[in-house]
Amino acid sequence: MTNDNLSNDWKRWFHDNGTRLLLFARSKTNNEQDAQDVLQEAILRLWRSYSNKTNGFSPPQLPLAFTAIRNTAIDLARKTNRRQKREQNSDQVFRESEQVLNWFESSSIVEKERADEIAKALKKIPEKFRDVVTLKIWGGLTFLEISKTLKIPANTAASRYRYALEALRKTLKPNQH
Amino acid sequence: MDNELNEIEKRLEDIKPSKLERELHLKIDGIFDSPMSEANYERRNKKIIYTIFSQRMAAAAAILIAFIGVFFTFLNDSNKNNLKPTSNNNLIEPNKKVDNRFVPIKTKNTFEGVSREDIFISKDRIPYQPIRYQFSDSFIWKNKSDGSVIEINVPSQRFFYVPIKTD
Repeated sequence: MTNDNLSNDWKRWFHDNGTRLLLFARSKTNNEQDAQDVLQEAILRLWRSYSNKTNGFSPPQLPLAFTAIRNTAIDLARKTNRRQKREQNSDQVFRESEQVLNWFESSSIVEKERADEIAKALKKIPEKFRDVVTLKIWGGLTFLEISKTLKIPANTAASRYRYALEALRKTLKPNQH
Repeated sequence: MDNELNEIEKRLEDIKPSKLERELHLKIDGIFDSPMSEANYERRNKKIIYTIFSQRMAAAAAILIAFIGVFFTFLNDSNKNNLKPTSNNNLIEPNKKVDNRFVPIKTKNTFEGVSREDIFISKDRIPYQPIRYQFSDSFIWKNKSDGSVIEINVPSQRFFYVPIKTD
C-alpha cells in the first residue's frame, strides 16, 4: 500500500465517521475546545498505532475509535481536573450555555431549538447513560460493540440505554408537530 | 419498550450530529499526511533494529576483549607466582617484578555527527524535534612489558528532545 493510498483511506474513513466521533467527544468533555482537542489527540493515537504493517494499515473499526476517544477524554479530565474545579465557581453559567452549542444539525430556528433541547437533556442525564445513548443512536454501534467500548457487560449496556431513554422522556417536552 | 420510549428514540434518531468545522477537518486530514506511513515506519523500524544490533555487537566485542585481557593477565600472574627459585643461580632477580598487565592509557570520546529525527507530538500536544548526537568512545590498553595494545571503539548516541515553539 502506497503512502497516498494509506492516507486517502484514513481520510475517507474520517470523512464518513468524523461527525459521530466528534459528537461522542463532545459528550465526554465540558466544552467545544476540549472536544476538538480530544478528537484530534485520539485520531493521532489511532494513526500512530494502526497505520503500520502489524495492523494492516487500515483505519480501525469504529468501536476502537470510540474507545480511543473515551480514553483520551479520561486522560484530559485527569489533567485538567484541578483547573476545572477552580474555574467552575467563576464561570459556570457561561460554560453551561456553551456546553451544548451546535451539537446537532439544524436548518431552521425551530429545529435548532429542538436540537438544543435534546443536547441539553443529554447533558443533564448521567454520563454512563449518555455514553450508551450516544454510541447507540448516533454512533451506530450494537449493544455488544458498546459493551466492548465502555468495558461493561452487554446486558448492562442495554439496560442503561433503557434508563437513559426514560430519563430523557422526563426531561424532554412532548413533540409538537 | 413502550410507545413513549419508542417515540423518544425516534426523536433522537431524527436529529443528526453537526458537521465538523472546515478548520478542524483540515487539521485532522493533516494528521494523515504526517510521515507515519508505511515506508517511514519500515525505515524507522529497520534503523532501530540496526542500531540496537550494532550496539549489542560492540558491547559483546568489548566484553570478549576485556575477558581475554583479564584471562591472560591472570595466566601471567599465576605463572609468575609458580616460579620458585630452584637454585641460587636463578637468573630472575627476586625484587624485580615483571609487569604483564594491560593498563588503560587513553580514553577518547569523539563526536561523529548529528541528525534530526521525525518530529513527534507529545501527549501534552507539544511538538518536539528529536536530535540524535552520535559519538564514538575509544579505549586503549597497553601491556608495558611487551608493548602490545588493545583498542576498543564503542559507538554511542544521545537523544535530545527539543520543544518546538509554535506561537
